[in-house]
Amino acid sequence: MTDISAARATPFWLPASHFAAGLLSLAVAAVLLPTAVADLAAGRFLQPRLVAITHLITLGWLTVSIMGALCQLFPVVLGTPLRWVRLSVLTLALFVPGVLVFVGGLLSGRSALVMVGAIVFASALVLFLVNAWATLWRARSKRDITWWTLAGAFFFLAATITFGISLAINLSTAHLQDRLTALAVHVHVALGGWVLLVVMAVGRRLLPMFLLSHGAHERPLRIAVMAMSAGALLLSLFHGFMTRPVFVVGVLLMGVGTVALVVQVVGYLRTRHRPQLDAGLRLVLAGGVLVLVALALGAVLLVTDAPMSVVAAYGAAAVGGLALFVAGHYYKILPFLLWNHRYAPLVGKRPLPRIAELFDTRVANVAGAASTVGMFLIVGGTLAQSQLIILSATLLFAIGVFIQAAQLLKLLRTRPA
Amino acid sequence: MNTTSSAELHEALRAVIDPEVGLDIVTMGLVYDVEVDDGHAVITHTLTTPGCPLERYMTDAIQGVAYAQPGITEVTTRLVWEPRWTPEAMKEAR
Repeated sequence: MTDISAARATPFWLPASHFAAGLLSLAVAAVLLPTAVADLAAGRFLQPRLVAITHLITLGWLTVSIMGALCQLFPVVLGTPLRWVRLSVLTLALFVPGVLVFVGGLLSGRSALVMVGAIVFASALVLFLVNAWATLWRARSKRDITWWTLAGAFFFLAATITFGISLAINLSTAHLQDRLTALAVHVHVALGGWVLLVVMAVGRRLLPMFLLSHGAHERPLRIAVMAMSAGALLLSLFHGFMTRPVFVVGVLLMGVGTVALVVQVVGYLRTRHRPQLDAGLRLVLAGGVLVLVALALGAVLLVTDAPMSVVAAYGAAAVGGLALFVAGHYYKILPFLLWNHRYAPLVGKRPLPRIAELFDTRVANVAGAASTVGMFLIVGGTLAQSQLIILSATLLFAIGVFIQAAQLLKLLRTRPA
Repeated sequence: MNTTSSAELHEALRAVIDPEVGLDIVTMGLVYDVEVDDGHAVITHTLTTPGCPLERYMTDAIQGVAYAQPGITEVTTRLVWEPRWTPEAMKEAR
């Protein structure tokens, strides 16, 4: 029997404030995307505007969402609540302004702001890691694949921060001999070692729960965790003196890990007892398909001397796929937490709505479809180097994001009549 | 006054709905055992996953339904994790 009880559960406002910050960051990124059309079409992914938008999505959307979700999910996946709630509040209070200053610095071309922002949000991430590792330490008696996967993810988040700071310092010192390879390591360790390992750890519990899936073998997941960790570790260890063969082996291992994760998700889908997929799960799957597109583009990059537009499309597919994947989870997690916080105490006093009835699923479907088609077209337009396609796609994506953000932020204010 | 039997209370617990899945907890196989002895109901149940935030809701809802049955004067709920719930339990419960 577990020692988890509702009395020790995380307060609702903590994940809710993370999710609100995440939705606003994604909305800002969606506003900025149409202004980066020329850079995307030309494959100029190192332009400050695209770097700023990318960090709004990877830090402001993906990382804030993961931090917020973990506040709530530690009890579910580790059997132990978050170690320090107050530290988590301080972390968010530092992280969001830090990211905004960093992004503002990139957009305005003021390197001092970039450095200040980076120091502030990196400090916040260190606080998050202290909290996360303390939580892991409390759950050390139950070390299973989830525990080890999260431990790996937190290690690679620390590596990502280190590599990012090195890249930021390089802007003034030019100490890195091969800046592009260092950037590639930073991006792969961040998306694979940090984001995808968390997806594996949490998805192991959440996806079967959402799909009511039972009986799927977990061998693909174990392969996914091992291959992804090995690849990210290889890239991290050789970061300072990377060679082409080591880099290729590292990203190939990460590719194997991603494919194995997809096989595992297919396994959950095939053994599900819920035949109909809701708006959230459809968005999750769309994100997964876009990650597969990224894998295909990555394979092209490994075997050919492809133009920069393919590199830009690869990055857009990877970041965009994960962004959609996380967006889908918002429709699952946020209404659930809100219902439990505001409606569950009314049990027996009045008829209660189902969680799915808290928001209009047709609106959610429209938002999901616009975001999905928009993001796929951004990748396609980048490959085709077509400014017209990319502009249309970014506008469509922005519409989807605005609808979702408005719908879920409104939901956060919903109270029982 | 007639006291509700164990079978009747088990059936009455169909009024408690899992808000996420939309099914009642009996159909979902979350209720493992119901015993009524001299007005004292002991209900053994589980949740879909340990750490589930719905724990307090489920306990309150089960107690609310049980106390509403004729002759029930005391209710004890026991939350257990063994055997672990799986979706297969839905088929067995039906």
